[in-house]
Parts: sequence; structure tokens; C-alpha cells
Amino acid sequence: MQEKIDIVKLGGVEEGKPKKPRPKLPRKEIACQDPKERIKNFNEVALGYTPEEAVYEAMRCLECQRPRCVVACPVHIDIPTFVGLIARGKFAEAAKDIRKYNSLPAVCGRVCPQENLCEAACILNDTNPGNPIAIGRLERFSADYLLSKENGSAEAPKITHKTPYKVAIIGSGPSGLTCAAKLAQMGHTVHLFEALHKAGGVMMYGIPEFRLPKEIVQKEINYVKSLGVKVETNCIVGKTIPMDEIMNEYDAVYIGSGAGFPNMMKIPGENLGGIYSANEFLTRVNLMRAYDFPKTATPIRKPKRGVVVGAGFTAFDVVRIMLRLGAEHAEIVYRRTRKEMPGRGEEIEHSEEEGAIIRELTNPVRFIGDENGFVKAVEVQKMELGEPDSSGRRKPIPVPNSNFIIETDLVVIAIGQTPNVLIPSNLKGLSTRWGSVINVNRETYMTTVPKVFAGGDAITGAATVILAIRAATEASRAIDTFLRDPQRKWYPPEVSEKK
Amino acid sequence: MEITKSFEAFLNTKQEENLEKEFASALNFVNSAEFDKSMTLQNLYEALLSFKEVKDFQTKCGFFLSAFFSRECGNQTLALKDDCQIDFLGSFLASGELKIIGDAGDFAGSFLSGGKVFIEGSVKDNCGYFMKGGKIVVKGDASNHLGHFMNGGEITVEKNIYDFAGNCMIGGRIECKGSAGYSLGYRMSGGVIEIKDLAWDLIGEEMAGGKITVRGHIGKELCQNMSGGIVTVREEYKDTPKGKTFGGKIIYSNFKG
Ligand SMILES: Cc1cc2nc3c(=O)[nH]c(=O)nc-3n(C[C@H](O)[C@H](O)[C@H](O)COP(=O)(O)OP(=O)(O)OC[C@H]3O[C@@H](n4cnc5c(N)ncnc54)[C@H](O)[C@@H]3O)c2cc1C
Repeated sequence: MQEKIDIVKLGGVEEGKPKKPRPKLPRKEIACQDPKERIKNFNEVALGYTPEEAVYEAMRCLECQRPRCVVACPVHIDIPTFVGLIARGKFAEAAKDIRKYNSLPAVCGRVCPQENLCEAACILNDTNPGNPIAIGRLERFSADYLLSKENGSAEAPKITHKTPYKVAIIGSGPSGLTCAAKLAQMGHTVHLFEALHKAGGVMMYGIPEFRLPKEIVQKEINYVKSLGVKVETNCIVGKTIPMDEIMNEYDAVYIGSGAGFPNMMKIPGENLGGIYSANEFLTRVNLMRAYDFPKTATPIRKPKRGVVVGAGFTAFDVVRIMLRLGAEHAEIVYRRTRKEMPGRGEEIEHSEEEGAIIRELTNPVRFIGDENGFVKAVEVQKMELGEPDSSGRRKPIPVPNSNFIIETDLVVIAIGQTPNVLIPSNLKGLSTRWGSVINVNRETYMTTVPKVFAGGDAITGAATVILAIRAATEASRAIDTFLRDPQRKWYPPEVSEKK
Repeated sequence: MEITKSFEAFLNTKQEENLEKEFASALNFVNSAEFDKSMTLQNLYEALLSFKEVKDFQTKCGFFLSAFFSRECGNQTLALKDDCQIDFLGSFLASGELKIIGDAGDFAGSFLSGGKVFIEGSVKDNCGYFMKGGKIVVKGDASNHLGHFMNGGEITVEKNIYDFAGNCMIGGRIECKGSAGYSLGYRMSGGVIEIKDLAWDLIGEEMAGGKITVRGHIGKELCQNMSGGIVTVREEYKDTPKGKTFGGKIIYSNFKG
């Protein structure tokens, strides 16, 4: 039962009445746990909008005729419509509208880099600089509202037309889940295979609880399941089930296996004790809840002085976890400057509020161990920036004779991930680049193996949740077309690198 | 009764292996003796709606209506009902003016060689696919792949266009009064694209020829792997990082005059 919302009392506008937007008002900040408190717990940092705050923010939106935010959103969510619904007190309807484009709104509302996407394109940046509509926070607000009303049992849209086709999806990260949800809604039978014991991919094992509560991810997964998707966990395709079996049993296959293979520094001392890859460190903490050891079965080394190498999403998550594990000093070591950091602005800010130190223009050259084989220090070198490289960022160049030592008892390497070679090495004819990144047709997401499609980090290397969702959305349409007529030759069969 | 039976039989025939053949078979059918010559486009559409459950209805129905329009030509209007997406509306048109009231599906105005298709609502993917001439006007938004492989003619979109507009475009002109999404003019080798407002990341990626002008904000990775053609953007984006280019030209303009 939908609760009655007194929208006028909340400051919004009644349905059917004209809205008078208030774009000149400042953007509503989101309440956060106090930094001193939050480093003692793993609870979510940003607390979300109250209904009043959400309505205030939604009332600022001009609901443009030619909304720029929609073109900048990789999945083209109809942003003015859902924001308009919030302004009119239709919170659940707003989330349902988002779900037409994105099956994981509560996740994207929290982790999407909106400041570089929809919010960067918002027209209010021109007239009220620095105050675009807080689209991500509104998305989160409406999605959380709907999830709380659904109470874990989503009211799934009715699937009227069932087809005879079966699709296997490999990997249950955002791309696998999205593709599964879309195909199930189109009436196909969908089986999703996940290597780990819990579905969700990086959303479960990578992004920490304090940024993305696992309960929220689980509710989003429940919604996908409610569409009729069968999820099989503990099943490594290529090991537990041979790839051939999948190829024989299913009419189409979608590979959404992500980029879970960590890059390492390849410098002396890297296999000392106390040096983790970010994947191992995060999986222990997030999935296995090692921070509660010995109440849970998995231990983790609790640092006094932690060092994280890298400055992406992962590095900032790791440094914040180190602080929550009790580190007195936790620092990011990065070879470029703040300007080039791939991490989200909000994460960088939150990390510093919590006490993380950012050491720019510094790069490790070797790790130094103690007599027990555990890391005790890292030798680093100063860097300076040269000309831009192929990624458009300025290339770091070592400064001669600038080495120095940083003492540490825990090092985490967070310099990116690449896809695992397991699937490419088990599927004959699958074209890849850099050894394991799968090449696909730019329009259809079909790989070089007929009936096999791929998307997400598996085709781009480590990227973002929303790009994984976009690839899956487009691929699901191509898979549907393919299933209905495998001979269809509308699209050129050329394969290229996917951006 | 007879007529509806023949509709059903036509809609149930196996889809042809390519689009030209599919259209030819629809044209044959509307020209055949069993087809009621007194029907109007609107009547025909409404009669066809009762076969919504037929496999590939959206495609078949679109070809059927396009073939019917091609036979009659002149000025005709079709008012769509919201609930069922129809693809290939106005495709293979050579002359005449077709006005569509409502939102068209995929491939609207595809293979157009002349005449005009006017869409009062929005269009889904691949509008103007392989178009060689004529004109398409879209009052609302156009989804992905607008003007895919377009070789001539003109498309005007009054609101926004989404990703990959002008994908592999060879000739013709696309004009958008709003903003464009990602990968504008991807692999374009000829023709002109004009965007009034913003265009997001990857403008002119792998572009080999033609002209793109964006008057508003631009996203990241401008002209990544570009080898030819001209891209004009605002002067104030001179410092926005570009992609790697092998040829072609980026012009920074203040758009005055
Ligand atoms: C710590 C961290 C923080 C991040 N923070 C953000 C953020 O804030 N915002 C953002 O947008 N992005 C963020 N990202 C990136 C984002 O999470 C990924 O881009 C996204 O999850 C990719 O989705 P995916 O579905 O392609 O792959 P994944 O999420 O990696 O899922 C792939 C799944 O496939 C499974 N799998 C792999 N091989 C097999 C097999 N052979 N058989 C069966 N299953 C298999 C894996 O176990 C995994 O569950 C972050 C990444 C990390 C690591």
C-alpha cells in the first residue's frame, strides 16, 4: 500500500499544477556521518536525503525541454521526468521510471561519477555555477524509497510473452545482472552463473559497505531475481562447468565476467608478507567481513601504518578501510598529481576528512622486508610530469636521486585490474586484446564467436558501473534481435575495440 | 474477412534475408489483387493492430505501412497508438510526404531516397538508416544511431539525439537543435553534422571525413583516432584534452557572425 504523501507540506507541487522551479537556490548538501565517528565503523557515510530535502532539490530542476543531463547519462535515464515525479511526491513512481532504463538505481545513485556525467551537463552549471541538480542523490532517494516499500520483495513487471530461447550469463556484476534483467523482461529464459558464493560482482566484493551497503545491493539483486532470472552461485564457468557445455545448452551467451585480475607493480620485494593486491584485501574485508574477525572466519592484517599504491576508486576505498581497521597513518602514493587522479571527487574529499594522506608525484621502486619476511618499508622515488600520453594524462617521469623510504606494515597495490584469462582461454576463436580484454562488435556487442556476446569490464578493462550497465543494455537488445532471427544481417560483422 | 486472412498470411510469412527483399515482398502484397484498394493508411494500421501477437509484428507492420504509403504517395498522416512500437515507418520512401503523429520505433525513414517523413513525436534507434535523399524531421528526441550509414538527404531533430549519431555516415546532413550523446560521428567519412548545444564524449572518434560542428559544451576524448574531416568546437574548449589524431582538423571557433 502506498503511503499518503503531503507534497505541499514537503514544499513540492501537487500533480496537475504548474511547477515554479527554484534554480537559484543552492544545491542541497547530503548529511554524512561525522568523520571522527565514521572511521570507527563500517556503516554508510552519506546518509541520504530526507523527503523534504529531496523535494527541495527536485524543485530546483527546470525540467528542460532539451535536457542535456539525459544525453550525458550513458543509459539515457529520463532525468527530468523522474525528478519531476519527486517534486510531485511520487517517490516510488520516480524509481520505477528509472528502472525502465537502469535496473540498479540504488547502486548507481551511490557510486556513479555523476559529477563527470549528468551533473556536469546540467544547465544550472551555466547560471548557478557549482550548483547542478543533485541527480545522483535524488536517484538514490527514490530508489531507496521504493526498495523500502517493496521490503525486499519487488513487485516485478508482468512478463506477458515467453519465448523458447535460453540465454546463459556469465558473471553477476552490474553488467551480468542488467543483461539478465533486460532479457528476462523480453521473455527469454535466463540463467546467470557466478563464480563467488554471492551474486553482485564488484558491488559485493569490491566497493565497501560504507559506500554501498550490501543490503541495498542484495535488494537490487532480489529485484532482478523476481523477474525470473535463475542465479547459480559457486559456479566458475570454464572450471565448474566447461564452456562447451554452456555453448551447447544455450541459444546465446553473454560474458559479463568483469576485470578481476589485479595488476601488480613487478618490483623487488612484492611478494613479502603484508603486501596484498587490492582485490584480495577488498574481498577479505567486504565479502568475508574480515573486519569482524574472529567472529567471522577470514582474518586480515590490521595496519599501524598503511600504504596504498594507486589513486583510483579502489585505492581510495582501500585507504579508508585501513583507517577503519585502526591504522594510525594511512597514505595514498600516486605517481601523478591530484588533477590526474581517476578517483571520484567526493571519495577523495571523504578520505581526507577521515585522515588519509595523499602523497602525489611519488612511485614505489622496491619493498623492504623485516627478518620474518614481512614488509617494513617501501622505497619510493619522486616523479615530475612530462607530456600527455595516450590516455591524455601527463606522463610521470622519475626525478634522479630523489629516492626516500616510507615505513609501513601493510601495503595494498591498487593500480588497476584486467579481465581474467579463464574464459578467453576456454573459448576457441574468441578475439582479445592485451591478452584477455574481449573484442566485440561496436554495435551488437557480439564477439568473434557466433552467439557469444560480451560487455562490462570484460570488454573495456576496469571502468565504471554505469558503463557496464550501458553495455549490457545495448547487448541485451542485440541478443534479443539475434535470438529472434540468427540470420539477420543488418549489422556489419566487424569487430573493434569497445570504448 | 478475406482481407484480414490475407493480412495474417502475409504477416506470418518468413522474414526475408535482407531489408530490400522484405520491402519488395510487402510492396508486391499491397499491389496484389487480393488487397483492398479503398483502404487508407490509418485504416490499414488499425486493422493490422489486431495481429500484434504475430512474430516480428513491429517490423512486418512497418514494412506493410511503408509499402502502402509508397504505392499511394501524396500527403498522408498516420496517428499512432502509444502501446505498440512500429519499426521501419516511412522506409524506402522516394516521394510524397508522410506525417506520423506519435513516437516511431526503430529504423524510421530508413533507405529514404526522396520525399519527406515528418515525425511529431520521438524516434528510436537507427532513424534514417542508409538514407540517400529526402528529408526527415523529428519533433522529439532521436535515440541511438541516427543516420547510420546515411549517404544523402537531411535529418532535423528538434530536441536531443543520443549516441552514435552519424555513425559511418558518408553524406547528407544531420541537424540537431538540442544536444547529442556519446560518439557523435563515429567512423564518419562524409556529410555534415551540426549540433546546437552540447555533445558528450568521443566526438568524431575514428572520423575519416565530413564536418561536425558543436556549438555548446563538449565531452572528453575529442577526435580520438581521427584521420580526416573537420570538427569545429567552441574556442573555450581549447584546453580540453583531445584524443590521439592521425589527420583531419580541429577548429576552435567563437561562433560569432
Ligand atoms: C574497489 C572498487 C571500487 C569501485 N568503485 C566504483 C564506483 O564508485 N563507481 C563506479 O562506477 N565504479 C566503481 N568501480 C568499478 C566498477 O565496480 C566496475 O566497473 C563494474 O563492477 C564492472 O561490472 P562488471 O559486471 O563488468 O564486472 P564485475 O562487477 O567485476 O562482475 C563480474 C563477475 O563475474 C564473475 N566471474 C568472473 N569470471 C567468472 C567465471 N569464469 N564464471 C562465473 N563467474 C565469473 C566474478 O566473480 C564477478 O562477480 C569500482 C571497482 C572497484 C574494484
